[in-house]
Amino acid sequence: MLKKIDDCRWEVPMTGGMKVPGIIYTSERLLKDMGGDESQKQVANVAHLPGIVKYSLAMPDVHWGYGFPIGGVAAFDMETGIISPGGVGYDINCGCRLMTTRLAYDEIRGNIKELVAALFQNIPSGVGSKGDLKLSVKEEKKVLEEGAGWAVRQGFGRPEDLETTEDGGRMAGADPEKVSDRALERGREQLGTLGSGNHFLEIEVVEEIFDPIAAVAFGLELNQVVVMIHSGSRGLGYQVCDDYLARMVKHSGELGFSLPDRQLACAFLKDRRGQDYYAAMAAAANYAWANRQMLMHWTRETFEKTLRKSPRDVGMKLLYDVCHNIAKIETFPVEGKEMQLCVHRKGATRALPPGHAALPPAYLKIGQPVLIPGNMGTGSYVLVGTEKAYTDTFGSACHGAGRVMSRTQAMKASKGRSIHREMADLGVTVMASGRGTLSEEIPAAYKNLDEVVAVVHRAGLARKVARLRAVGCIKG
Amino acid sequence: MGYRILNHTADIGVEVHGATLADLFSQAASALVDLLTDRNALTVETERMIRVEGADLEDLWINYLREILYLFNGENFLLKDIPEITFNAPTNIQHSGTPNPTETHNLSNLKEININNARGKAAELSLEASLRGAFYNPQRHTIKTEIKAVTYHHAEVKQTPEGWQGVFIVDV
Repeated sequence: MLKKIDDCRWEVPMTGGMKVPGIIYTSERLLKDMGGDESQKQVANVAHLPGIVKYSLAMPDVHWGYGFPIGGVAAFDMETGIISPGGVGYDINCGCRLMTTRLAYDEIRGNIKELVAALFQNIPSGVGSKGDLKLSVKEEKKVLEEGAGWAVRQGFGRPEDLETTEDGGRMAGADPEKVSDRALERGREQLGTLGSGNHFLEIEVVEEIFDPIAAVAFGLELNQVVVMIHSGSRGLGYQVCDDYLARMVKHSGELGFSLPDRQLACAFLKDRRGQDYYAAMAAAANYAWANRQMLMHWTRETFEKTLRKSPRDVGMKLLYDVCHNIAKIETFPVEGKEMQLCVHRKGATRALPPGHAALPPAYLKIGQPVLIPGNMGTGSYVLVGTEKAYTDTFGSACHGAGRVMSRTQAMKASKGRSIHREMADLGVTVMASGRGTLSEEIPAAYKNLDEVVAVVHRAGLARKVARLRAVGCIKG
Repeated sequence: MGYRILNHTADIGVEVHGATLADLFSQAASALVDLLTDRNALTVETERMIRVEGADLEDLWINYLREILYLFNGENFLLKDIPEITFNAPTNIQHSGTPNPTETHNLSNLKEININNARGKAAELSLEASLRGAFYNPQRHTIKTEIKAVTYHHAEVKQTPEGWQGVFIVDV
């Protein structure tokens, strides 16, 4: 059913009730990994939703999700379109932040084990992990309104950290009153925790630079030590999604059209239910930004203490923080005119071109840093946003490698193996809270990150800037 | 009857079998908790009653599993025993089997139900379940997988020649 457009794009032609065609960014090689996968059907399902503009998109890391595919991007007309909790995902504002340091790998090569152990000690991780602070509901609501700024005000970081956080770490339109008591309760003890599954904190080294000019603008140089954090809004975000999905499923009969999959349950952007979800989602997004801000602060402290170096000598600076599970009101060109849209990115990273008003001054001339975390052992990529993504993909690029093996397949594949030892052989010190986490997250469970990023680069959605190699990792 | 794990790239799918509808729902709860923890390590120390509604059987199925997951995520409660379930349905649900006046309000032993008649109207069905289990104690219990949510994706409840079959997919 797929029709090849060029070496990077395949079309899902319009059939049945599809309102627009689908476009999957991929390659011949990655397409093979999609065999038997339901993601193509999911791209088509999303194209059925009212108000969808231009096309239903999938990035090269696309894989079978629930409702929307993971790696899916779809934009909706503000007047006639919908917003869907399933198009954002349970982990609202799951995202990445990358910090640069003034440290060269050779300087701290001997300290990696010690650093990983200290980070593991200082940063709560694992299933349902609880942080050191239990917030009052009143204080928690401030977090939901203020986002990363709340954390900075409490002493977790510096004001300049906010400049290089997407949206300044605070999404407009958040309303804590739209967040349920259950979600608030789950969020009270989980602020400042990494979580489990594919969430991680990784010490990485810049091993290759592809674009020296962008690298200088981002403060990246060869052999430099950097830190990547991948986490989100924890139980609070999951509960917000769960609450609103149930509400929208319950009222799906009132939408006036039938859903191809209940998990696509949605509400019109103009209706109260849609607006309530947006306000609750924005609040959860702010919680996630506060969360990553706190995790970064403790990482800074841990580096300084463990290496016995001053904050100046460690020089840990936030390169950028970007979310990859979100719905945002943004403006993009549609048929030659700028149009306000509700852009859903579920497992896709925003990628803005040079000159875009939402960029921090430091990156205005070069474009937005696009952070693509890899899986354990393979490292990560930094890319930079382009004009092409602005015109073709609602300013979006991929978000990671994307799974190819189910968790049970990965568990089977790693049976009898010491994943710790294998990681050590690859030069990565790993510590994990959960027994099964390492087995589920083996590198072979994911698509080839180099190939995924190559497609994004070739398609012109974002340009490669640097490749980062993992040397130490903590997982939940 | 029991359950088996289905392969899904990013998430975990479970296919559950039950002799009756109540058996299906009971098995599903234990399948969900088995994904979370080793139920053998639990002792019964507390009891919970839940009441869940659904617009139709599939909605009821997912809402019920969402509630059991919430009891862990929100209240640290883990189910030990297979729960006892009582279904309630309004009298306007048509039975395609032999009508039995005592069964119109209690579907627990129901062998057949005309599912189509129950679709589309809000809160047509409900169930009550009594759950016996323990509070999660990190010293004694291991959590195998963090489950973010029970999704509506591919949710299914249907009759088979052997009884009932249900499918649910969790986001992990």
